[in-house]
Amino acid sequence: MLLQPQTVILSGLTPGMDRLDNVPVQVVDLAMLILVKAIAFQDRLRKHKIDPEGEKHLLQAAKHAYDISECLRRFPGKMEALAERIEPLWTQPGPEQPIIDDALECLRVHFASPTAEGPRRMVLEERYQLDNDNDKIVAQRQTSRRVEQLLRLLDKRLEATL
Amino acid sequence: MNQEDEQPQWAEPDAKPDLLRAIEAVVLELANILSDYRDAFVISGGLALHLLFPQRETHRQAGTPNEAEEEPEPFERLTKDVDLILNVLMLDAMFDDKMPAIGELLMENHYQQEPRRHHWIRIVNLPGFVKPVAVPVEFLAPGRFAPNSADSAVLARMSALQDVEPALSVE
Repeated sequence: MLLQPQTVILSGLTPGMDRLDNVPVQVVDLAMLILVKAIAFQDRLRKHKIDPEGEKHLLQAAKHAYDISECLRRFPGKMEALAERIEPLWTQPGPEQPIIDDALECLRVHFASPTAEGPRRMVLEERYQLDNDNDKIVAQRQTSRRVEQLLRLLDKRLEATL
Repeated sequence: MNQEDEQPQWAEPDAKPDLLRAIEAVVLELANILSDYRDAFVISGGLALHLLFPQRETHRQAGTPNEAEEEPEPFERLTKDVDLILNVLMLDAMFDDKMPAIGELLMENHYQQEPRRHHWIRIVNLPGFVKPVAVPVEFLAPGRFAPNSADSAVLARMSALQDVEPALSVE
């Protein structure tokens, strides 16, 4: 399955005030979440072109761009670890490979420059809470730099395997 | 790949914002009441970041001083809801009319279905809350089940049997 779920064990209080311990739940793999969100972002831009009335697709695109940016920023081990996680799924033939190809292309087209659609849209997301234009520009640059680095690392890894 | 990955305990409840406590409580409750369907849904969105790496978000109440070197992450910047991606094929295949449907389990446990039918709301009011918190829960299904697709009938059947109508995502 593309989402490569991981199991997390939860404990705590439920809304009904029951104390529960060691309850397993499946959570999407972060690397896969970034890739899936990249495809979702492009899909929303495409839908907006078809149906430009209203803002709903652009709002969703901003949400996806923001999630991508946050996942990239917080990924443990930074872009080196993310590239390491993606590479085997990307380079080994399998059902995920074409989707990962598409997702990386979405990142390349929409996120690898600070003025591309992704970084521009992400600062419009309500959760961002950045009022200052300079802060927005810095955030856009940081996101595009991370994407550039990720793609460069993946390209290097691919070259090394050829 | 399915890694068993025990996570560190969350911070003491009193040190967390109400929204975070409410969302954690809802995730725990969903994992428990939907345990028969455990392998057929995956938590997605910003909440995945918190569940996988909980130490990165703030556990302080707004307005209290932060002495950590790195500015903590306000939880509200991550997510305000719970997104669940359903494995439609698995749910369709595993349907058993002796088991309560997902929609039935949600209603029995005080989840209210919104007019946008893929959204449900759980009101949470734990001790110490300033006021009750409404936690939205959204069900999603892969885009391959879109209307007019070859698989759309599977989604329609699963939705009818399980009493949930997931929104389409692209996964």
